[in-house]
Amino acid sequence: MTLLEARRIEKAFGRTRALRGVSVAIGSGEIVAITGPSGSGKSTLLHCLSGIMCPETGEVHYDGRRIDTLDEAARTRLRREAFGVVFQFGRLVPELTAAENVALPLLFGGNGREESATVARAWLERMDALDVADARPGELSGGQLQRVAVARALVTGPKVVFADEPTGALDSVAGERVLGLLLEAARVNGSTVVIVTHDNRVAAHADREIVVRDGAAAGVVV
Amino acid sequence: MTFFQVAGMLGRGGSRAERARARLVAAGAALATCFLFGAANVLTLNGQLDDRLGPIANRGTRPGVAFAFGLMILPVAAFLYQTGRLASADRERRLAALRLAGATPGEVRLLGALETTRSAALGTVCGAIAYVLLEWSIRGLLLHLPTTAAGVPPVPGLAAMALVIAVATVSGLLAGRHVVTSPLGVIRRATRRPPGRYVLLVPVLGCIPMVALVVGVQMPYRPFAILLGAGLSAVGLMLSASRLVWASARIAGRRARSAETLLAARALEADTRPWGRTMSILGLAVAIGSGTGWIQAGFMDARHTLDPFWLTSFTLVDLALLVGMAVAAAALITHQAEYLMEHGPVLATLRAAGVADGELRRVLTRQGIIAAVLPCSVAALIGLLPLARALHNETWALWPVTNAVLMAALGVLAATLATKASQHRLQRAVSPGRLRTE
Amino acid sequence: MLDRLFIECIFACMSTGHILLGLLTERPKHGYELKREHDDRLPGVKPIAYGQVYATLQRLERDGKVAVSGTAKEGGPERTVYEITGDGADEVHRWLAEIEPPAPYVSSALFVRVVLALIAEGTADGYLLRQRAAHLERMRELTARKNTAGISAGELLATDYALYHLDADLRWLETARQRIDELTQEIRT
Ligand SMILES: Nc1ncnc2c1ncn2[C@@H]1O[C@H](COP(=O)(O)OP(=O)(O)OP(=O)(O)O)[C@@H](O)[C@H]1O
Ligand SMILES: [Mg+2]
Repeated sequence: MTLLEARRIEKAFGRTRALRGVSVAIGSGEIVAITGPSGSGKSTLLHCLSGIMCPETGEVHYDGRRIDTLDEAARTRLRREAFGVVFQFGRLVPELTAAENVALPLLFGGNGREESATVARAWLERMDALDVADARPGELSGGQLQRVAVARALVTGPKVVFADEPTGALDSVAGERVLGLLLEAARVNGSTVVIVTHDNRVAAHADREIVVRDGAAAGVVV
Repeated sequence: MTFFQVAGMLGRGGSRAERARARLVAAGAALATCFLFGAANVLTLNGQLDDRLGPIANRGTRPGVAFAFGLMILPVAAFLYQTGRLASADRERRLAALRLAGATPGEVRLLGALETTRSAALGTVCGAIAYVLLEWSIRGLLLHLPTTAAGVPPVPGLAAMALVIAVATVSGLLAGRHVVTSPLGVIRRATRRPPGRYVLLVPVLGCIPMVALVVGVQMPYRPFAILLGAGLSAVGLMLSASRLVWASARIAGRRARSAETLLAARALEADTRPWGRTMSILGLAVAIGSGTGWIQAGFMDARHTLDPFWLTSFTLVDLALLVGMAVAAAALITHQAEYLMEHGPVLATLRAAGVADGELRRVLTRQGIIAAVLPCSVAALIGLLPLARALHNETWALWPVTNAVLMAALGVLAATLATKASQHRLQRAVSPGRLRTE
Repeated sequence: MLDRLFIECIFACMSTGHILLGLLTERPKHGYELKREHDDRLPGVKPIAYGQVYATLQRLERDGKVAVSGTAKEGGPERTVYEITGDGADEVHRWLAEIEPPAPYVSSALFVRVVLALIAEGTADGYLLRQRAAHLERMRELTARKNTAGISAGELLATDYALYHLDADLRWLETARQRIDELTQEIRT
């Protein structure tokens, strides 16, 4: 069953045509890698699929609903309720501890402080990062940062996890560990995962690859 | 190429934001010049003038007015310093290329100071011209005084202008201190310890003679002790503002039930000093404002009317306090801009994860509230102390208390409004484009 | 199945004699034990025939690298146990001190196909995409195998080895595509 779909979407930044009519369909529970050379529009595609941006033409559908025509508030709600995001450099709030960073989405969701902290710690434990729960992001290694970021993305039990180069700043062993934990947790959750990467070994963790070239899906490799 | 040529070349470059900041520096310098000119002007007046001029009319109160004008430099200086910091952070980003080419951090800082000096010089000249025109028109058109009566004497006037430029240059040099720049242009604030706790003793010490007065203890050298106490309290309040901000941030961080409060409190705790600087000025204004309540009440208690002289005096004092608060709070706007610039990618990530813009705006506002409530309340309390028990009719005591509450609220309001004013930057700071940059 | 291509490459680069000597450094072993350990601990390397173990051991004995240390009988037939000699140990360590010569020549069939596709069909785009799909499919299998529980260290290392080589191919394929694109652009303009 198709959960997330883009139909001939186009997006331009000034005179740069980042996306030129991309169509992709991602099934429920699937793990999909979006690959392609630098500047081909992978991140832009991810942002459009996740409702962070809206394409100029074309349609984006999630769970049978068209989302690119929703207003900002509705898309924000959708992102909060159904999506989780991980980016290349963790992007944790530098003043909060790792555990508080993970608890943040729960707090924003209106949960209590203690309850959120307990759940956050449980997720850190699953991500093998309980030992750094009380450290600030500045004190963490790249791999630890990413594991905390993954915990933050998964803590709300999202339907879809979007990851943009989640292992881009890591060496291969640390990267594999982060990826393994992410995919394992996503499988247990039943989450769909969309990973943007230009690392073939990361792409090999996915069920399927979508190759983006010059703003278009060149070959959808099944 | 000489150093000055480089400076000139770089002066022409720069983004829109930097030019805006250069204008802020110029505005601050202009304001400072106006205040100093006002002080000089008041001091050169002679003879008794129209009562409607309030404290300016009276020979005996003129030095006090000049002193008040001098005090107004404080918020302006804090504003200039904060703006200078932000400008230097921006500039260092731009000059990172220069660092790569081998310029030392000292040279870059000197270039920064030169740019600040130029803006300040421009502002000073504009301020001087504006003041002279304003004074001339008030004197000639409104008061119908002989135009020969007095004006800003040239020598102190020039000295004041030189002083403003010098202060701006020094603050420009100091401003770059806490910013660490690598040749690659990565900027982060050097980690710093929380503000010391022992400064809290100073205002406590200052309050002792005043509390003694309230309780009715007999003191030797009473007026002197009270003056010393008031002075110590005021200075102590300014010194301990950072610590008070830090303490309330810490408490708020521990107790926070919502994500917004947690984020706001932790950001404050991590970077207390800019808030502390602003709060020391705001606090001083609140304390003075709260103190004037007693004078007003005492006055009403004794005479039951207000003649034009006192009315003008009180109005002028309130006006000066308001201006001081506004200028001090304006420094927060530039500080918030710095916070947004630094946290842009992190906030953009939170937004990508489904945090609404309104929630992010609340983070900014709560920073203002958390930072302002404790220092302003303490300041209002301190302001209430020195003149207590000076009344015959106890009901008049209601006014100073009300006034103190109002002043504290005004201080908090000023800080909150300043954070609101920087919210328009939020949209740009958290745009999806910021997800791409490191 | 593990990728034969790479494994054969590993295999060609070393001699059976050195492998058996290496296994014997632990303790004396008999021929059948050596064959089993060879196949278990070097997963993916082409399984060795018992005959070859036997022949190699005899050659090593003749050269003084191993010596017969006794016989063992555990249920089955009686087996000759070999132990490594001082000479043999020296030989293993000398061999480990050497390095494999990095191959500076292009021998990949991929390369040949890309060039011929350009010559015969004017474009290699279709081929490159199909090859990419095939490579990635194989990498996916290998990755899945790595994630199975109870995988041995040797198997893990061998899988990584294969993955890295497939990855290198893929990166070369992608670079080839970009280069060909650039060249075509240049010719057109
Ligand atoms: N906010 C933006 N403003 C201007 N141009 C942009 C913006 N976002 C993307 N682009 C341009 O759109 C094109 C695609 O960018 P995108 O970030 O999607 O590529 P990518 O495939 O993710 O690249 P990389 O692998 O380097 O991350 C690029 O040419 C880029 O310069
Ligand atoms: Mg990208």
